[in-house]
Amino acid sequence: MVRALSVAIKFAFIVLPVGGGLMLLLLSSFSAESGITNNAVYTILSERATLVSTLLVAVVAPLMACYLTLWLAPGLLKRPRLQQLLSPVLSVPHVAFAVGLMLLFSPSGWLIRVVEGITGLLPFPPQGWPLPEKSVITVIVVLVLKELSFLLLMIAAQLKQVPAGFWLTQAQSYGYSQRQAWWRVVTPELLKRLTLPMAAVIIYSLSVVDIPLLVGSNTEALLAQRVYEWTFQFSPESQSKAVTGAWTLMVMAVLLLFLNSLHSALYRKWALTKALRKQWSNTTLSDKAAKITWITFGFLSLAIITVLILQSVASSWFYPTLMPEALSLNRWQSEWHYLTEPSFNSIWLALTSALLGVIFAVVLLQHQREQKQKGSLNVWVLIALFVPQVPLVLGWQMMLGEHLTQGWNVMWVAWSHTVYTVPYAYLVLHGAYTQFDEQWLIKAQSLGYSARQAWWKVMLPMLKTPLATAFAIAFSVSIAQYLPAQWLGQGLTPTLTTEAVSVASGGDWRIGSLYALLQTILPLIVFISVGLLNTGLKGKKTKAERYADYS
Amino acid sequence: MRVLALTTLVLLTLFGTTLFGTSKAKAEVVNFYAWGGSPQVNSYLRWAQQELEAEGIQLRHNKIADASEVVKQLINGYSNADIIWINGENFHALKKANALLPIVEDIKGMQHINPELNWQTDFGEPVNGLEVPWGVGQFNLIARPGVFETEAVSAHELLRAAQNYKGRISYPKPPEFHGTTFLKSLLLSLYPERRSVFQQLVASVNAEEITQPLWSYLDKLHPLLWQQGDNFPSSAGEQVSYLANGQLVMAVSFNPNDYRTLVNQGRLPAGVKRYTLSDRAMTNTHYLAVPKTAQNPKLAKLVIEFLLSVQAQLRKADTNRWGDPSVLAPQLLQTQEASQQTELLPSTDDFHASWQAYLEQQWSERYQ
Repeated sequence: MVRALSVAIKFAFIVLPVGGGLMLLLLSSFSAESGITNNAVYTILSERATLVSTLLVAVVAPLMACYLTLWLAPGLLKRPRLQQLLSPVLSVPHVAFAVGLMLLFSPSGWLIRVVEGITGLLPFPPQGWPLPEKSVITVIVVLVLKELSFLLLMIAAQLKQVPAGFWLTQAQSYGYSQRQAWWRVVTPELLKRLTLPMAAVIIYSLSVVDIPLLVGSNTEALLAQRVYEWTFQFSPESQSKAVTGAWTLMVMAVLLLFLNSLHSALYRKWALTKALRKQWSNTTLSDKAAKITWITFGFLSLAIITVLILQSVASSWFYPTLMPEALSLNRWQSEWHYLTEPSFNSIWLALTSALLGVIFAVVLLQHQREQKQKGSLNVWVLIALFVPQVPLVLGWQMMLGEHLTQGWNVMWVAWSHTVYTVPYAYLVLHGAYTQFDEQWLIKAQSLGYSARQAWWKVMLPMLKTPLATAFAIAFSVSIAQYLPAQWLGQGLTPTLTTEAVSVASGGDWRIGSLYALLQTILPLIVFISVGLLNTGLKGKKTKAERYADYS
Repeated sequence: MRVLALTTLVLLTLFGTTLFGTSKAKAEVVNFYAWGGSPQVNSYLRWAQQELEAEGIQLRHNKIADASEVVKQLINGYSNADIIWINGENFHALKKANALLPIVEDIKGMQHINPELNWQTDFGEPVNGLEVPWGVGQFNLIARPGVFETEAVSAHELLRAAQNYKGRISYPKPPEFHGTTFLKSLLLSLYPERRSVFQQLVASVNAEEITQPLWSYLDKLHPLLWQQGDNFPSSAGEQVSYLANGQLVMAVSFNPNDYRTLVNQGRLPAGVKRYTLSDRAMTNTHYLAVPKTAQNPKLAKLVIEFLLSVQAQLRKADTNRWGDPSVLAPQLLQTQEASQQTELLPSTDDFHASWQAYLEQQWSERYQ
């Protein structure tokens, strides 16, 4: 049963979509007019600045996010409620997050306005400010902050599975300081479980288009951004550069994923061989710094939401005033009538595809458990994430053709969203599900449960946290989809995101903020409920957890 | 378990209503794919929607972030578009792909189009009846008062202003079409006496020699620009935001009324002024077209006829709303509302289309 289902899911949500998309890419790669040419290969390889900054972003941003996360994570262990601080950052769409950061920290942002308000020294926005609107550094800052919250959530889900508290106590009884115990005992295990989430983060950093389009340099653009721009220029040279660039990106992705798979082993080696240094007071210093970072993080997410709200009700807001000239709800009122359809579409698409995504991921993982491929890392489940979306979705259009006209497109949009929710649900669940201790199931069966009952009544309840987290992430992934909803929906499934992206293209951030906030609300509700579920229900333990406590 | 059952029930209901809802609305739908980045354009189309509903047509404005999205679908994929809003490169690509219906002869009211409007060529490419003019674009600069001394800004005046306002002037990065038009206007300003050269195929003239003064001019200009010319605004809309928040003192626009409409909407501070780059404004037309794959070409043409009506064109030109100039003959618009119209700027024709790719390529080789 599980096997048949797993095969069906692999076919319908991995082989079919990726195969269909790659087919188009392959066909156009060898077409006479716009295929891969030596010239295009040469152009791309000779653009050193582009290649270097692309690799820089794809390596530096994930690594920084990863180690910052590990540094901050002990806070989660002590105060699980901190997880709630992540919800706003996780829910704000990437682009809106970038815009929020700019509204706060750019040369004409709030911070500078406060300085101008106090000193009166800056009648014009200053030049040469370290965080200019357009640079690789800005892209990295945005990506690190955004990925930080994602990885912290991943760790929060893993910490329910790893007896980290127990390990820490034990290590300390052997004379390690708490920090040393964390980095040498807990971190290797966490890194192993973070391999897939890190793979997703790396692929995202490599292929993200909308953030560099907004805050990246446009003369030394990143490769993904270039490919995107070439795709929409219709000369044969541009088309052939787009195809060549797409393959280059995929090669880079494979290379980086290979390095990523070595990461945890390398770390373990390092952690085990490096000599212990004498400890002095820097442990408390580091703890204090981590605490301050958590507080800053909380303030930052609050400030971003606040500045977006202010923008959405601003009549006009020019430098150097600290507040908009007047606040009015006009914009909200005039949009209100037109929000029903997109909100409705966003909700049902996200619910359906997130639910299906989680169920399918469980089936795939269960099959993997039964096949005893526990540790094996099925990167191919993530393959849909590293094919560029434009050729992929165009391939689907060609594959589906007439089916898009007969009212079935609604179904296909839900399908396309599920193609993206499955890999995310899979990677959130992977660590917890494959590392789940077989002993629990054996014990349950020795107490008279059937294998199925043991799975249903012991395993699933014990995996409640990662399951809920997977649902929340899948939900927000579905909410954020633009091209699938836009192109397969043929205008019949406008969502909050398709509206938001098209409205934002005009650069008017007052109406842009309004839609960004609407995009934020739904995932925010889901993340907060999941957070409550994960941290709140302490008093009411399930049967399985009580059992776990006693054994 | 109960949660799961409940969720499934909710989903089934939602799904059912969606399917039902779409099948009911199917009858008289016209899918109009148009850029959704301007709140003014969006609310104008919402008005058109209401007007057309009275005639039994359901106009759907399918908002897109860029017209090239739908062009890409029409060429390489599949699209249900009945009407699209395009010009320039997107039109060329679709014409080349043979994807458009010849509609001009079927449209009633074409005789009312302003005869002085040079709409028969779109960025130098013959229209051949494949698209209908909808509005007029005139390239202009919007700047804070005092930045420029003359209403027609020459290349040298721009350089002077850039020296006075170091790091406060920029232009959208070509191949964004505002950016490319900026380059063309500079060429005209450097070559006022040889206007006709630019109407010829770029391959038929000595383009390298003609454009040499432009590149040496830009070499002088760029170090004085915003971020020393290392980066440029990505779009005209983005540059308007920089003008609003004081990082720049100048923006560009293709709508000759933007210096008023954007102030009316609180997007720009009061007092900004309009200028032309070179002595005349580069003028072109934006169009409506019907793809060959349209499911409802008849209704699409009815919608286009409505959008060309005096009523619709007057409302479009209203500077309290969109402010996009009408394409109709001026005598048709002599009504009480006509006072809200503005005179067009002195105009000059756009370059032959072949210059577009040449300038973009040369620019990116030098400055990217």
